[in-house]
This record gives sequence, structure tokens and C-alpha cells, in this order.
Amino acid sequence: MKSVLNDTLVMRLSRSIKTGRRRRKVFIFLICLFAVILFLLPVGGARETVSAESAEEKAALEQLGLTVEELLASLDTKELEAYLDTLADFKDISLKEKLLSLITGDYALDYSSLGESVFRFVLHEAETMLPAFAVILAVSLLCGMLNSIKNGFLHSTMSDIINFVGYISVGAVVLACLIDVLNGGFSAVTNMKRQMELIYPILLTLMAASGGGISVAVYRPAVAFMSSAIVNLFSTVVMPMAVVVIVLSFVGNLTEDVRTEKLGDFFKSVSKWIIGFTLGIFSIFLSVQGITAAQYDGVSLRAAKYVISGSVPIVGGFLSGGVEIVVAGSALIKNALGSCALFMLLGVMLRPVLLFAALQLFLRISAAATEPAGGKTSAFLSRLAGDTGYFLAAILCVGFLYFLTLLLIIFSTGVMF
Amino acid sequence: MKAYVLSVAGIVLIIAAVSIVSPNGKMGKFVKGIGKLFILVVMITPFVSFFANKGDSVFTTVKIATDEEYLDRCVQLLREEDERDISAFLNDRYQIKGSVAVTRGESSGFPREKIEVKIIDFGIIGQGGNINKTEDVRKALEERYGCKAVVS
Repeated sequence: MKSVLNDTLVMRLSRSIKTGRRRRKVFIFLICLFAVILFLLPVGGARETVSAESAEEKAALEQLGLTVEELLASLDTKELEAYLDTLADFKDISLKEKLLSLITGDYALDYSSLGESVFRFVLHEAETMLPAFAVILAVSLLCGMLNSIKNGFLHSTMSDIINFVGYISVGAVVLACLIDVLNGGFSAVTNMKRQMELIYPILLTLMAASGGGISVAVYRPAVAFMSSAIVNLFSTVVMPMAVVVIVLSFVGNLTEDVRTEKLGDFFKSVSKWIIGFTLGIFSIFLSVQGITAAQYDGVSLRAAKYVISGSVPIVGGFLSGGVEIVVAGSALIKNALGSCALFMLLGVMLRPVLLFAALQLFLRISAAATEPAGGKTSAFLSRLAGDTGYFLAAILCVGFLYFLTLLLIIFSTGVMF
Repeated sequence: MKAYVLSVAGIVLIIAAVSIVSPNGKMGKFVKGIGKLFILVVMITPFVSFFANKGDSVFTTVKIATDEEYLDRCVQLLREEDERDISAFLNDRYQIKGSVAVTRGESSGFPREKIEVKIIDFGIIGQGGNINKTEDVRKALEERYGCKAVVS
């Protein structure tokens, strides 16, 4: 009896469990069906497309586009365009069209082709220096062979003369390669100076038009000092001093009686001081002043906006847009022109920097290759590779200061708004 | 620069060649000493002339002028925008029509300095209401734009 009862209980329990599971399944199915119906069924009426901008914002953006085109047309860029026509990389390019494409975001930099051009340029320069490398190696080996038989039958004075001639030959080949590179460096600094004289007035005009009155007052003397005094200092003092160091490095090893190492070290020390002082003081001073001036302009602009928008709570935001559209348009053009100037700076600096990189590589490889042959050639080439770094440092310093001022002028807009 | 490099290299070559072939006695030492002096003079001469003449020209600064035509154009665009906004505001709020002239300054942000409104049509109001309306419009413009307004 009991077992029958138990069985019945078990059966009922199992039946109820099965029923519960079925109910749960049905319940879940109904929930899913309801969710599908809810999301697929239209809520009511016609569907509306959701866009990120309201109608008022779209109108304002259109107005901004028209204002930017009008402002670009009234901006005087004749001298800058005439200068761009003299550059091979920027010839026959319409500056205003490029600025417009930068503002609208249609411009894209092709990094792969840029990288390929750089690599090809370095390879080409390395190929150009191969004959010079072969001459240096041949002369060093010859001198090394002669040195090894000096004690045999050659008089010491004759071997000194042969070493002297060998050193002169190597020096002549190296200096011939070096003169082109040095001329490239000087012309890069001259080009940077010309760019500064053309770009800075336009950027300051656009900065003034975009509400940066205090910033203009701060940057005007700074960029004037940068484009004239600092560039003159580097092109007439630092870079010639670097050339003197290179020449002293060559002549100092010619003969034991004429030593110029200390004189070369003196000029190196003076160059280091000038570069370090200029870079440190000017960049810090300009950065601090520029950022604080831009913040002051930003507070003034926001205060002016508040006066207008605060008095008319509903329409004020759009009204104050009347100030912002012309101001914003000038700011956009300023940033686009600043970006263009960065590209121009890169175009001017890339070639001499790559030339110096190829030259230093050539000198170091030559020094390594001629070391087993003995003599003064290897030490001279190794020292020369280090001394050319001062010339490159001068070019990079001018380029960096120009780059820094451009960045500060571009990013001052962000602080203002 | 090329001339300087060649002159230094040339004089050092000559002196080095002379020192090799010069005798070892006192005459040789004298010749080498004179040669070193020559080299020193050739190397330092450009720097002497630099400090004598060109030292002043290194730190001269140029003047950087802004494009005044562009700034004037910006002021003109802002003024036209203001005049349109003010005309629309007067029409919507007070139903009056008039000619508007806005004066903007040349300082940072081109702030508004003065708004002049000459009302042509006061709308449907009595003769005495014109004075009150003029005063209301003046106060509204001054409050809205934060500058002096003259309404006539």
C-alpha cells in the first residue's frame, strides 16, 4: 500500500515537474514572441530618420561654409603663392583650394607614398656616395700597404709624404660630398626664414580676426624676433661655426705641427651654448606667454558671448552665433593655414636632414671599413661624422622653433573656445 | 662660406707641405711658427670682421604687419549680420521697421560700440505711444547687445 502510495506520489511529482518545465518553456516562448513583435512592429505614423544635427545647426554650418569661402577670397595670399611656385613639391598648387579641402576634411596625407619617397631618396644618396666610398677605401688600403713596407726600404719622410697625400685625397673626396650637404642646409634655413616672413603676417591677421587680440600682441614681437634675430643668429654664427669645426677637424690631422683640436672644441662649446640657450629660453618663454594670452582671449570671448546670450535666453544662442561664424571661420582658416605651413616646413627640412643622415651613415661605414688599414683616415672620418652633427643640430633647432610657434598659434584657438 | 673653407684648407695644406720639407734646425722651427700664425690669422679674420661690422645686424627685428583689408572685411561681414539680426528682432518683437547702423570696434573680437536705429514705420499705435516705444526699443537693444543704442 505504502509503495503504491509512494509510486503515486512520485508519479504525481514527476508529472508536476514536467508540467512546470513545460509551463516555463511556454512562458519564455511567449516573452520572446512579444519582444520580437514589439521591435518589429511600427510604433505609429511614418518612420523618421534621426540625424545628428538639428535644422538650425545645419543652417549654421552652411552659413559657416559660405562665410569661410568669402573670407578666403578676401585673404591676400599672392606672395605666399608666388613663393610656393618656386618649390618643386608645391608647384602649381592652388593654396586656397588646399586650405578649403583641409577645412572640409577632404584632404588626406598618403603616408605610404611619403615613406616610399623617403626610402628611395636615402637609397639614391647612398648610391651617389658609393664612388666616394670606393676611393676612400682604395686610398686607405694603399696607404696601409705602404705603411707596412715602410720599415723595409722606404725612407720615413717619403712614407710621411705618402700618408699626407693619401689623407689629402680622402679629405678632398669627403669635403666634396660635404659641400653639397652644407649648401643644402644653408638653403633650408634660408627657405624657412622666407616662409616665416610670408606665413606669420597672415596667421596673425587670422588670429586677430578670430578674437585673439591679446595673443596677437604677444606673438607679434615673438615671431618677429624668431624670423629675423634667431634665424640670423643661426645662419651667421652657429652654422658657420659648425662649418669651422668640420674644417678644423680636417686640417687638425694633416700634420703633427698644426693642431686645432682645442680651437675646434671651443667652437663646439660655443655652438652648444647658443643652441641650448636659444631653444630653452625662447621655447619656454613663448609657450608660457602664448598659452596665458590665449586663455585671456578665451575668457574675454566667452564673457562677450554671455552678455549677448544671457539677455535673451531662447534666441540668444543663435544670435551670439553671428559673432562666432565670422570668428570661427577665421579660426578655421588660421588652423588650415597653420597645417599647410607645417607641411611646407616638412618639405623644406626633410631633404637636408635625410642628406645629413645619409652622409653620417657614409662616414661611419667608411671609418669602420678603413680602420683595419690603419692611419689617420679612420679617426678623421669618425670624428667628422660626429662634428657634422652640430650643423644638423642648428638646422633642427631653427626648424623646431618654427614648428613650435606654428603649433602654439594653431592651438591657441582651442583655448579661446 | 666656400671661399672661407677653401682658404683655410689651402693655407693649412701649404704650411703642412712647408713644414714637411723645412729643415729640422732653428730655421725650421721659425718657419713652422710663422706658418701657424698665418693659419690663425686666416681662421679668425671672418669673425673679427663679423664683430666689427655685422654684430649689430644679427639682432635686428623686422616688423610684421597684419592684413588690414581682411580685418576690415571681417568687420563689414559682422556689421551686416548684426543689422539683419536687429531688423528681424525689431520686426518680430515690436512690429516696427527701420534702418539700422551698427558700429564695431577694431579691437579683439570686434566688439559692438554703437547701434543706431532710425524707425520708419512704428506699426499700429497712437501718436503718444511712439515715445514709449522708442524708449523700450532702446533699452531692449542695450540689454540685448551690451552696447549704447540710439533710436530715433
